[in-house]
Amino acid sequence: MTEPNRDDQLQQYFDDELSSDEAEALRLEIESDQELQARLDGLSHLRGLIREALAPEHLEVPADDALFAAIEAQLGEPEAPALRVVDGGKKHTPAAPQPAPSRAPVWIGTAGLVLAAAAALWFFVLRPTDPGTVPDSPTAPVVALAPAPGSEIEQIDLGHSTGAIFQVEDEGAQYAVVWIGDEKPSDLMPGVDDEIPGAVDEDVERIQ
Amino acid sequence: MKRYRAAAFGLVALLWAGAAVAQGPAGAPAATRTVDGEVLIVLASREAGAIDPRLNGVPALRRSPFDMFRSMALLSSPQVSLTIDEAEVVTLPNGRNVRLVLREITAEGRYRMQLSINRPGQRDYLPELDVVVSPGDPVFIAGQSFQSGTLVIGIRLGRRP
Repeated sequence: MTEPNRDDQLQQYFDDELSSDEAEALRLEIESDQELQARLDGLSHLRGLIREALAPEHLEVPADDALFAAIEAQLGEPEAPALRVVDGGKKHTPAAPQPAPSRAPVWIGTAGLVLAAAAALWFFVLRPTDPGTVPDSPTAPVVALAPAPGSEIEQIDLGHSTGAIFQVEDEGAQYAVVWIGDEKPSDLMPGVDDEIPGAVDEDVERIQ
Repeated sequence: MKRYRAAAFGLVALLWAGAAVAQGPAGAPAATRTVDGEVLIVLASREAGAIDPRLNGVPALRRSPFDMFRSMALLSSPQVSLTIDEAEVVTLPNGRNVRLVLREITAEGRYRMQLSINRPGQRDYLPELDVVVSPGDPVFIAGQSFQSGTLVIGIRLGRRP
C-alpha cells in the first residue's frame, strides 16, 4: 500500500488532481483501508503545519507589475561612482572635507583575486600533467614537487642468468642494484646467499 | 564596483585563454617527451688502486656491496636522450648492448624505464628489467666480468631537482 505509485495517487487525490471516477474509486478504498486513511490524514496534517509555518506576509508576493516597478526604481537610483572624470583646466572649489572611504574591502578583494589567479595559473599552466599534454622538452620536464628519491625495480627477467637484487642506501635514498653473475655476489661477499636462478621475485633477500 | 567586476571577468577570461593555449588544440597529437641521461660504465676491481674522481658524484658506489672494490675506473659515460617508447642502445666494452626504453614519465616526475643487456641477437645476460628512477638517481647493474675486474653499469636519467 505504500508503494510509490500508490503514494502518488494518494497525493493526487489529496490535491484533487484525479478524475472523478478515479477519485471515487480511491475514496472507497480509503474508507476500507486504515493505512490509506492514516496517510491521507498525514497529508492533511502536513499541509496544516506548512500553512502555520508560513506567515501570510511571506506568502504575499507583489504582483508582477509592482515587482518590476520596484526593481526599476532600484536600478534608477544613482550609484555613487567609484571613479569620477574631471575636466582638465577647470578650477574646482575645494569640497568640504569628508571622511575617506575605507579601501580595505577593495584591497582584500583584489588580493584574493590575485591569489585565485595565481592558483589557477599554476593549475592550468605550470603543474605537471600527463605525458601526452606537455610540449617537447630537450631535458627533463619541469616538476613542481620533487619526487621521492631513489630507484626501484618493478620487474626483472633474468632468463638463464643468476642474479640478486640489492638496495644501496645513501642519504635517505635507496638505489636499486641488480647483480648478475659472471661473478656472483655470494662469492664476493661472505654470508650473502642470494643466488636466484631465472627470475627474482619478492622472496629475494634484499640487502640494504 | 562595475570596473572591479569587469577586471575580474577579464582576468578569468585571460586565465582560461592561457589554459587553452597550454593544453594545445583539441585533437592535436600527443607531444613527445624526452629526457637526457647517461650510462656510467665503470670497471671495478678488488685490486688496490684509485677511485676515479669522476665518480665522486655517485656516492652509492662507495656503499655496500660496491665497497668491496678497492679501485674503480670510469671507462666511459655515454650520453643518451630517451624518447618514450623509442629504444636507445649503448654498447659495452665487452660487446654486449644496453638497450634502454623510456616507457613513461609518471605524474610524480619519475621515469619508468625498461632495459636489457645482451649480446646482439641473444638473451644471454639480462633479458629485461623494469625500473622506476627519480631524476638524477641511478640504478645499477653489476657483475659482468671484464678484463681483471667487474663491470658496474649505472644508468641515471634527468637531473636531481
